[in-house]
Amino acid sequence: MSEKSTIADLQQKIALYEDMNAYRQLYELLNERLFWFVFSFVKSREAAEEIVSDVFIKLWKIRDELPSIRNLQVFLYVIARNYSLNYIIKEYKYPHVSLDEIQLDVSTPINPEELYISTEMSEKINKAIAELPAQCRLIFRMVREDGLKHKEVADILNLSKTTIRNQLVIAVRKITQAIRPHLEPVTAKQRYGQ
Amino acid sequence: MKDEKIWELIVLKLSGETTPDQEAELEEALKQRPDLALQAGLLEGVWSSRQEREQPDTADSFNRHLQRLSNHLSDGTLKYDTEARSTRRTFSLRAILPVAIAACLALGIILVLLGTRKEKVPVAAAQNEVWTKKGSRSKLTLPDGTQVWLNASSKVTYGNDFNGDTRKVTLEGEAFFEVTKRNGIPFIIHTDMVDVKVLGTALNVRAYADEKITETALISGAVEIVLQRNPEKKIILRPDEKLVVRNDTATLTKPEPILLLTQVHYLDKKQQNPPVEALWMKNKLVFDGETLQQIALKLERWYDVKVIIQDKQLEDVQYSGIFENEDISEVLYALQLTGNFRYTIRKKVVTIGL
Repeated sequence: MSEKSTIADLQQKIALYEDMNAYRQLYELLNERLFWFVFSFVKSREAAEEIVSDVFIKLWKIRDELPSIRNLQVFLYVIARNYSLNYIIKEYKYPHVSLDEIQLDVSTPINPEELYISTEMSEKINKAIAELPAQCRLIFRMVREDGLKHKEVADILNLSKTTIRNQLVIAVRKITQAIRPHLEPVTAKQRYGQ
Repeated sequence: MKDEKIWELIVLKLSGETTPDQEAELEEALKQRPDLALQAGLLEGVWSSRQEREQPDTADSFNRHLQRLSNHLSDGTLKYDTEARSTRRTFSLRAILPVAIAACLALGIILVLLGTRKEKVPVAAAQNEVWTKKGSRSKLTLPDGTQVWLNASSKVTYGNDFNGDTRKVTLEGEAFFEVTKRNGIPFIIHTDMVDVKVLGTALNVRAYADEKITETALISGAVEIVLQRNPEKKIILRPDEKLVVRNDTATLTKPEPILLLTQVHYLDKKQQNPPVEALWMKNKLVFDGETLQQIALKLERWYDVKVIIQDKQLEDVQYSGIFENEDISEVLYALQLTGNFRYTIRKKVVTIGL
């Protein structure tokens, strides 16, 4: 079963039967990504856990209305985003907060065990990802790691689909630039050899 | 094709959002641009190499979440929820129940506390008592025809007025009931922790004073359970459900959870045999993922022995197994095959150590 239909299935079980098991499965499926999503805004593990927990409490409270929600994952991300913003407003007394202004803390480690990426290279990649503009990094992560569609990320972050795509282009080009020096010595040698 | 356009296609491809046309377009474009093709290939590697992010243990985190959820339901609004006021705030018992039950999943089976027990309520004068000693089991038929299988070291008490308006029995220990249906006359099993109101049923109730939990497992029919500690809370069990109530919460620092609703455990898919919870009445001694400490209690009752575990580290090791007509040395021998312990049996004392 695809993840989408798994989520839809759990959604239905929770709505119709108040199925605690389904609720738990949904939590286990989405907790981690929502945690990191929220963490990137609030930068506190405790707060992030609390907020994600609140998101799931909210889910439980409105379980009767679940059948009318078309994309539950996006729905939960949106709640998570709103709670995060409210948290920041409440805790830091920022007068106005928009996504672009928030310093996002998103790290995206690359697994060096991947065959053809050396440790040195993966360090460079990680560094390149870390140096991406915050929003760009967040989008990169939501698409790559959370497997969200461009449209879904656009809905969650209140941006256009084109913006999402453009941000991803920026991300992958930056990453490619980081890798490039590894490719060049070979061509350089060849050039000098001639 | 312009670089910008190629990059867009690369991004779409990485995200798994290309149409077949776009994919062909990209492939064609990359043939012309081997430099970009190489980078696209590397990016694919980067893209697919996700590292597991460091994450607090999900089970723990879910348990903490349930704790917050159950606290929340009695409290009200969500701190960061701006729309909270528009949503319903009142919860029916039915709505809270699954939560309370789920909250128990939290600490549920890890019932680590042993404590002092409440004094038994003194019973009225005209009482019938049937009890079993350690090492023996018994079966009795109540005046209404209800059959009761009594496990070792257990006691059933009922008054002379048993067959009147209500049928009440008091249970200490473990018993399996096959309750005769009498319309309009409920059958109530009192234990220290719960009252079980039976509506025509087969069920197993386990309420040993020296155990940490009280268990009600329903095989057929329906029962309504009232917690002694919280009489407003009524829990209705459906067949094959089991309610586990923690016997002692006094020493808990945090508020409950004290309940766990689970399914009874059938060993065979076809469910031809009774579930694990009721196998004892078929003369089978069952350990279902139980710790050596729990097993020791069971052995003491089943064989009328004293079991001493010398090394604390052995206490929490879990074992499963079913024994039928085997004497205690055979049981211990089987257990120590899988466990790392030695045992001695002297008269009626079993000593288990490293």
